[in-house]
Amino acid sequence: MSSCSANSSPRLMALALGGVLCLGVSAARGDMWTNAAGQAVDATLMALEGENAVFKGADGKRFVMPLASLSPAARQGALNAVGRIEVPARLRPDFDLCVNTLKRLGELRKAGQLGDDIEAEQRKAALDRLKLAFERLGVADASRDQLLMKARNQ
Amino acid sequence: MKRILPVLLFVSLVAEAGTPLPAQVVYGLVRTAYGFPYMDSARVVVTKGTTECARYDIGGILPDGLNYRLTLDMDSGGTPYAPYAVKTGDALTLSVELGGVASPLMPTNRLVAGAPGSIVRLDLCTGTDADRDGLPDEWEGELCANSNGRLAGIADVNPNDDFDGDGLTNEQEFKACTFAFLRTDVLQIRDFQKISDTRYKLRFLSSPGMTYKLVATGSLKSGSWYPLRLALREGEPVSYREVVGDGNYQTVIVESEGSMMFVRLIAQAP
Repeated sequence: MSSCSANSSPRLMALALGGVLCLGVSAARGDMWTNAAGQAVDATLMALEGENAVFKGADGKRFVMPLASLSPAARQGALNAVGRIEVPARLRPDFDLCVNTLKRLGELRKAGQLGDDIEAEQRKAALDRLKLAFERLGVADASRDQLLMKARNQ
Repeated sequence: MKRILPVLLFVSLVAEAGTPLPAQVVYGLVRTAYGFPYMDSARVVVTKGTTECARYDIGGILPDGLNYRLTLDMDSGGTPYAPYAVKTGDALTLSVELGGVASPLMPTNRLVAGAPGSIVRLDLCTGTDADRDGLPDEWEGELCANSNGRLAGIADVNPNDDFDGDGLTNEQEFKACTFAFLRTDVLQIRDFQKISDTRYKLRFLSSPGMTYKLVATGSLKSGSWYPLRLALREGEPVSYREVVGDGNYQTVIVESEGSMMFVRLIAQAP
């Protein structure tokens, strides 16, 4: 998944927040996400990557926000979103394969049995194969990003 | 004579009706095509023709590394006392459903009803085996995809080969749920350390849903291994138990029963 760097997120978020949206306005797409300062933006949560949340704004551009910069309710909402996505039963073996592979790679790296570069390469390969499973099993386009997010965060 | 005839007919009908006999139990471990034991989302079903005879919703790992247990109600013969009852010799069909859809099953989806009261172990895998080598094609495809082009297709994957050269064959890696393409990933005990006069701590990388046992021997020459009492935390009492993997490194405390002890880690895999 491509995303802006964490360093550029405050500027992008400021631009997004400086747009037209405010709390209480219903979102045409995505959800309203509020930062700790009370500013809100219409965006779709795409992934949680470590301590960051990756969003896709109403203009289709992706941006990264540290979870810590979101309001407590928004931060909890982002964490809950990962748990809410239901994995289609037919996808379960491929989904579990991806999750288990990512987890095992992480454990091997932490134990010094795998280099960072090989782990990154294998992680990408595992996620790519999950994407192929989406195609093979006809998983709805709308849920693919969220399923990838869930796989990354389990 | 008029009174005798209905009585005879009644006796004849009663004689043809089946009676319940002790059930047959079919149990085992169902894995995905990639080797991981199912822990939820799957249902094991036995049918006779179009009639469902038994089902089991997998909801976790049972003792001894199992995840399903079916009870087949047995009938003595004649007119079954219930449509779902089976009699010895009946041809049955096994299926594993994911979201209500039956998956391909290996090594077989056929089951012949056994004797009343019998117990049968049948380990299953929801995959296909086009090259009939005992390994699911899907798992072999994963190995090929991670082989950097060294394996062109599933026909190149041999269960007895050791693709990554870590000392375990491809089949052993499938059964242990370790990466068959990564030399550094192998089922092994790590960080074995003494924590008291009789207790030792060790770690191993588990796989989700896999069940592990630890056994020991005082002499490698004896070939006699005994189960170890263990605990999952320091300070806890040790007991004879298994460890069900969650994908993380598992820390286990074991208690020695002699001055010298060799410990073996066993992944309970069919």
